[in-house]
Amino acid sequence: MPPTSVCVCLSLSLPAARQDNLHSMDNHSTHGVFSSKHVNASLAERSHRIKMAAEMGLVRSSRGRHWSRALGRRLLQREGITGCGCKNAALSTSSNVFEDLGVREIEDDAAEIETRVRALQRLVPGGEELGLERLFEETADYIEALQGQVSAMRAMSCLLDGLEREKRMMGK
Amino acid sequence: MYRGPPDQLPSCLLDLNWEQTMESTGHFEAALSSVDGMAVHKLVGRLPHSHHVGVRLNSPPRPNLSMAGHFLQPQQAMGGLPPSGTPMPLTHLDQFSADLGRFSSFGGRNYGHLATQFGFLDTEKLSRTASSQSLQTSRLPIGREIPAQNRLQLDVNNGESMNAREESSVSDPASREVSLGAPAWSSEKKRKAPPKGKAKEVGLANSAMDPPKVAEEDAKRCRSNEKNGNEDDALKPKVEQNDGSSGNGNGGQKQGRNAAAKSPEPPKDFIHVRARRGQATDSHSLAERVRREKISQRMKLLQDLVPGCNKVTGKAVMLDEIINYVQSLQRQVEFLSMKLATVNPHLDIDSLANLLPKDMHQTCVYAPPPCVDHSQQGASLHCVLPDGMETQSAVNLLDSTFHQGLSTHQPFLDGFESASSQLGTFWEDDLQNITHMDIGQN
Repeated sequence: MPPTSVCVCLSLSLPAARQDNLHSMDNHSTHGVFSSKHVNASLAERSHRIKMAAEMGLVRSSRGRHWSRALGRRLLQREGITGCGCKNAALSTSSNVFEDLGVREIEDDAAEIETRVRALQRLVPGGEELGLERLFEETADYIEALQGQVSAMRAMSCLLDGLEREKRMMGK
Repeated sequence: MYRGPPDQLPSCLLDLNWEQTMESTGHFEAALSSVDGMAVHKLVGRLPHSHHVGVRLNSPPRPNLSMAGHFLQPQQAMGGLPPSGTPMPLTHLDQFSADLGRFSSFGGRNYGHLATQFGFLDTEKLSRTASSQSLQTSRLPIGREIPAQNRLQLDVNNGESMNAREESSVSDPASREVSLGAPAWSSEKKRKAPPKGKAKEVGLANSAMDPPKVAEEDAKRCRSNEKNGNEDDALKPKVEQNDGSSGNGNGGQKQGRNAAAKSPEPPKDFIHVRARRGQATDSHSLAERVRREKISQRMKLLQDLVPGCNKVTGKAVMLDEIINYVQSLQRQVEFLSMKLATVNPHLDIDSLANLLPKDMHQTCVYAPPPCVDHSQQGASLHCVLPDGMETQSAVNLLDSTFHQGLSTHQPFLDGFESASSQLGTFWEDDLQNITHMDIGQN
């Protein structure tokens, strides 16, 4: 991944939803304490927002890819439909992709591969309409982008961890 | 590949057995095939010894020299050439040059013993051949047989015309791994087509290649020699390189393979698909085979990406692995987003605002406009991640910058607070812009 895309991922990996946290921010800035209830109440939404931002980062960083366009479209759809409240993530993380396909028995070779291919198609955004070789291409690129995103987010969380610790120390 | 800044070159070159060569011979192989003249010149400048990389001298009386000399301008390296080293190498050289005169003797032994001495091809000796008159007329295309690790352009050919050609040809495919020259090289090679393959594969006996793979690529190469002439040589540098590094015994079969309509080794290249022995030759199955080849190529690519997939064989299992990996990555993203949500809910470094939807590159250059007073943090955030996902370094960098911010703790948050409201709207704006982007691309 090019460095620019990594930066973009990083910059996008933090939540965009701040309106609902203005209160907590106020509290923090004045006392250094924020009400945990406030935080927890919107935890799900905040994490959802962060995830959307992360996915948006994915989209932005690998623009021009079939899967990124499909993912962008999906994100836009979700955002349009659900506004702020929906928990549906563009990246579905159902534990078993095969379940949705309704097939789990070990069939003969070709069918086995077929089910797996279909599962992969569901995983990779925009994969449903792709042929096998295109699918593999997109999968490879998608994996790379995901890896970049994950490390960016990990770095960010490490950073914020340290930052918070510092602030706490300074506060005391 | 070596198109990067010349400064990078010396370090990587020095990583090779520079020290070894330096101590042993006092001369240096700066002749990376993929290094263009400027880079090599800089490289030479960094050599600790006063020995300069000499140019490949056309005049024999100059015994001392040349290292990848032909990369440099003749004027540059002429001055200050120190006297040559021991006469010992010279004798080796003579013998070697004599050997070079005969293609048949381009055996692995020459390259073998040369290569073993220095870890890459003994260009010191080979480069001396340039100055030796015996090679003046031979114009052996040794330079082409350069294995991946050796990367040395053997300047065997003398003559200024060849020099110029080499330089131009070398600098051009500098990004390629093999010093496939310009058509000039290949045209010469074509004259010696039969030995060419041999020389190639023999020359680089060091690297190990799977015989079948090499055979296939040999076949490709052969076909390209036969049919496509010079252009293909330039087109398939990697193939050439791999070929060169094989050192297998298939070279003899090459010609026969070309002649055979159906060859035992399945020759297949991008342009022509030959039917295997005893298999259907109709267009459908051929196309099918090509398609399958492509698919297996992509599968290999995925195998490299997905950790732990190397041992797995079989499509189904590998697909399973890939699916699991993608799922786990997605889950990680989700988990990390949750973690980020909890870690520091009030800290808003959101820079969605910065992202001009039209231009991605800009985002990494300047700080978020709303967070004006935290431009340093913003900038560091944006530009901080180096190429690699070295979280450690990233965290350190970010930490240092954030320490600055901590001192201005209050305004830090206040700035963000004011920014957050603006950012809220930016989010929607971005989304709309995204539609425009995507639609434009679709």
